[in-house]
Amino acid sequence: MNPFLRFSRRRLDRLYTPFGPRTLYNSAAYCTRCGSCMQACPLYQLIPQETYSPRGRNQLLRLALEQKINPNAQDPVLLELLQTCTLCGRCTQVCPGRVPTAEHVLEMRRALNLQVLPKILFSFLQWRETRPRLFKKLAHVSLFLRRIYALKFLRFSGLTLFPGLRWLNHLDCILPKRTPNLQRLLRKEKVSTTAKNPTLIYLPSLETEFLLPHLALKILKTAQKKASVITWSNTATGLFSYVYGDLRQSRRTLRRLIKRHARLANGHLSLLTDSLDVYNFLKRAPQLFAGNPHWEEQARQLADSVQFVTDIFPKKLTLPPQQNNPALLEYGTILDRQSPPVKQAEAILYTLFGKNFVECLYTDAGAPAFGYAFAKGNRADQIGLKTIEKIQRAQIKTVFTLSGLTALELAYLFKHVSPAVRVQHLADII
Amino acid sequence: MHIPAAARRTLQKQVGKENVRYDDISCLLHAYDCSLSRVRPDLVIHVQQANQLAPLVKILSRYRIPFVARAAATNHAGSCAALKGGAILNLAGLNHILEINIKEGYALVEPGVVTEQLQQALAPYGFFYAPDPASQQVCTLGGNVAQNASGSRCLKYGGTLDHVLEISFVLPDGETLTVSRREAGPDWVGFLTGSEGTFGLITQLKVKILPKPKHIQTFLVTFPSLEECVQTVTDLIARGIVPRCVEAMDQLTAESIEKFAHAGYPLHAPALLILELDGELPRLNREKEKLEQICRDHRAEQFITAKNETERQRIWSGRRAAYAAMARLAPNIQVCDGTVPRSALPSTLRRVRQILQDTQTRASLLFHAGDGNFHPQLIFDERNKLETKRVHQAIKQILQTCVDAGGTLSGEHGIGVEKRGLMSYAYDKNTLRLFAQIKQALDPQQLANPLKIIPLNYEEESRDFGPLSPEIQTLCDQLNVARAATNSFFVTGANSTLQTKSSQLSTRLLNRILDIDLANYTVTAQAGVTLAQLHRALKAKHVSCSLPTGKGTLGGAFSSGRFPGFYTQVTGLQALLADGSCVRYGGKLTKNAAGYNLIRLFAGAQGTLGLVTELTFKIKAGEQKALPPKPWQPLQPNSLWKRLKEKLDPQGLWNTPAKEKNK
Repeated sequence: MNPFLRFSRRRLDRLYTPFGPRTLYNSAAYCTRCGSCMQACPLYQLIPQETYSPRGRNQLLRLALEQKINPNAQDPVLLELLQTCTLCGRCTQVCPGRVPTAEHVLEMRRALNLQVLPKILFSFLQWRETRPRLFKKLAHVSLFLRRIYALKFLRFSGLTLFPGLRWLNHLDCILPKRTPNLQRLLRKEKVSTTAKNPTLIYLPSLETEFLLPHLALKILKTAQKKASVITWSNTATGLFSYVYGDLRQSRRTLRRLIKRHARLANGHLSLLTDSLDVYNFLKRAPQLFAGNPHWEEQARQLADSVQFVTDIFPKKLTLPPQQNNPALLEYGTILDRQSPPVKQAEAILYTLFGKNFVECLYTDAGAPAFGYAFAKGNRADQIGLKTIEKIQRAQIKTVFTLSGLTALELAYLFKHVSPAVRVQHLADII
Repeated sequence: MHIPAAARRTLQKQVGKENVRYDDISCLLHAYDCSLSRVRPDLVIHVQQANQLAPLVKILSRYRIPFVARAAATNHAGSCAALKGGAILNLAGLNHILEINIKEGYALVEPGVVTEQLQQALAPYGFFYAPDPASQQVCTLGGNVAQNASGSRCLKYGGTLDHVLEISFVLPDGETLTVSRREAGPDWVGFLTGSEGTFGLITQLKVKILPKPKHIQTFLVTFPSLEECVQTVTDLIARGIVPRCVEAMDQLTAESIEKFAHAGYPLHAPALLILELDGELPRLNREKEKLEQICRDHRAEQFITAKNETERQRIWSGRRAAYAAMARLAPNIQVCDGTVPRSALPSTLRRVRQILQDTQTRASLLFHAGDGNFHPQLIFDERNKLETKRVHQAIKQILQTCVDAGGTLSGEHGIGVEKRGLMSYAYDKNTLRLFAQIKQALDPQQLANPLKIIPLNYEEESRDFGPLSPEIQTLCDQLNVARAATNSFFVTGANSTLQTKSSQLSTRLLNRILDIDLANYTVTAQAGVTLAQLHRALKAKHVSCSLPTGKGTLGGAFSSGRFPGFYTQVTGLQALLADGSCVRYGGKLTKNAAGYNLIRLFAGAQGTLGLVTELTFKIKAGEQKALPPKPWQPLQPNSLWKRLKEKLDPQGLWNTPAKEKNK
């Protein structure tokens, strides 16, 4: 039987579009095949073939749901079509009907049980949701091993050339030289992560907590000036499973987060995140529970309480040293490029840089976000190089991102091509 | 269709295994375009280099595999559907801008270059490419040429047809050819533009580029009625003010757009006009004053001038949002592009509203008021068979209304397969037969984009447009006698001094000016009318044309090829063919993308393919500068001409330049 039609809890019952909830079939049917999305897609810009275009992906879903095609998870064309989507949401941004192609691709991946990330990496990251304590210990051990050059040894020995281990190369390339422990850093700086009567919950993302702890520290300090903050360390949101794994696991993790949030002051506390990807996911949490009014309402409450770091920015910011050089905001996110934090970030940078702020157009290829480089390394490099081309043309000296991982990925790309360009998370300028 | 394994292997050898796909997904994802047509091809070939095209076509021709070129596939006519199966050639990979020459004003590009990509490449030089189809962000130049696309700037700058200088292409048998506007003979470039890939594949294009206007001013004007709105545009053009863009909409459309886009459109007015002028500042100011005066003369209620770029963008945001406003209401949109003479716009729009109401169809109604091209955007859900049927019915009635009003089925989208059936309503049997003969001459195996444009059963279903005028009937009789005796003719007019042994067929009989239309500013005259006679008649009405006074006839000026600038003014034609049939094409229309462009085929053909008997062309109020004549050059027969001559005039009744030269 057609796997797209088979009833499964892995599938979303309905998608929340800006024009109301729609079933998956209805949502795909709203693609009028006008092609507006094609030049916005970084993949289509690289490989101008219909099989790499958002229109092609939408039509594939529709054909499958109409039983005109029987998708087979072994089909290399189908795999390439589904795995190469960066989920960036540029196509939705330019689509006259705002068709959520990224969601459609995720649905198709789930229907086929498609493994996009390398297995070992997937299992390791999955533990953050299923076995958080184990994950935390392993993460620290891994970082320690890297500090003592274990990863360099692996690369030198050629072991990382084995399929399934190649991602280790990329990981070693993008990781910063020093990755101090956040808890130690907080203790050293005497910053408290608990408060008696909290008014804000800070939810550090995976990368800020383990790889960029200085950034987490900065955000926490700024937040504490405005509110009484508590930090929920190593807390998964369900985003990872939503993008790479099982929807049921994503729901489970999200339910856990909702319950925890509800327990604290009846769920009325704001939840602060430093990753635009996490923000986008939490904002669309209600659609994961469509059809279950109780959980849908709870998820809506959670979604309403989510804030992005741009919300806690001080009114007066000190100018960064390179304010006279052009700066760019690279969206580099998944699912939604038009969420309010992007507008806020643009406004902040426009105030700081004035005419030197270069707007990132939807047609400009962007940094592949949320682990795309681990899933499709060669494509990610090609897309990244296109971004570099644009940045070099505009003679941009500073690139700001709204997620830590995107900052790391871009910094790695720039290190070799344009070392003069600085890449930093927007929160770095606080 | 079965594709032999040997053919696949040969194709794979030619372009690489990874570029020849015949799996289900690849084929099904190349089965559609922006229309409702969906036909699965049997093969998809991704072309990476332009020089692969000729050998590819040769292989396809050898195995008799039909092929359809495709790049962005954004057309609304179903032109990319592989109706007979076969191969889809994806040309989107041919996306290189090869040269930009601002000194000579051209850009050399591959067919897969996106229109916006060219605009961006030209921007640093202060140049632009004038045609601006609504989909220019994604559509490709090859597609624009194939469909003769145009946009809101068409009134001032012309459509794609007027901006292509040279086309390199591959005929369906693999022969390569380059046609240029500099060559003597028919305007091959104009003829191939809009042929929807039915004559072969474009490999390279040379397009005209222009310096960017320094100043642009935008106006939003409201009128008490659609008639006043349209008449304002006519008067503007007649008085020599050709706006850069003229977009109009009725009250219902303005309301639906305003709800969605909040562009600040006044909602109380029955008609709304967006005008844009460009050029140097002193001239712009003069034109602006005149423009405002003309608008006031036609009882314009509000005359809003965009004071800065933000206001200008706000005015345009509404017009641009029209498609998106409709796209959110229903899964499917069908956009029509029927075109009528400007004077017929108000009555046609009323009729269209009635049709939409009768068929219970939801649609927005916008139009390019300058060229009589209007775009009803009908929304529906194609999964609902009944609703889809109603929409098809509405489209059919709307297009028939256009034809009845002296218009055409398509102004800029082309015919493809979606409007193919209605061609029998728009053209008579002789004209459709000529289209079929042209296709047969250039593609005898019917391989290049087969079954498009020409209706399948036109012999039975096409309409009769009434008897011929007595003068043309007389010429027909002479022609029939000559054909029976296999005598050849030489067409002469008032200025012919050629000494020939062939019989002469004079156009002196055809000496009537049939119509001087001051509502649309067009003249319809027979080909034998002398230029002096024409100028006298126009002067009496205080209008003028771009042809100089002097010796010769209208037909001679058109056919000799000495006034290429005049071709763009000609909007309608009637001609006599060697088989004694009379064909009609166009009318009082500013643009026409329905069928093969016969005007450009007969223009400069020097009477070798047929006898032009009647022409309709544009005029202006007051005096205008006459076109300088080019020295006469004999027609240089190329492969296209030879193939067409053999098909259309197998007995050699009409003159063959080379033969006369020998004599």
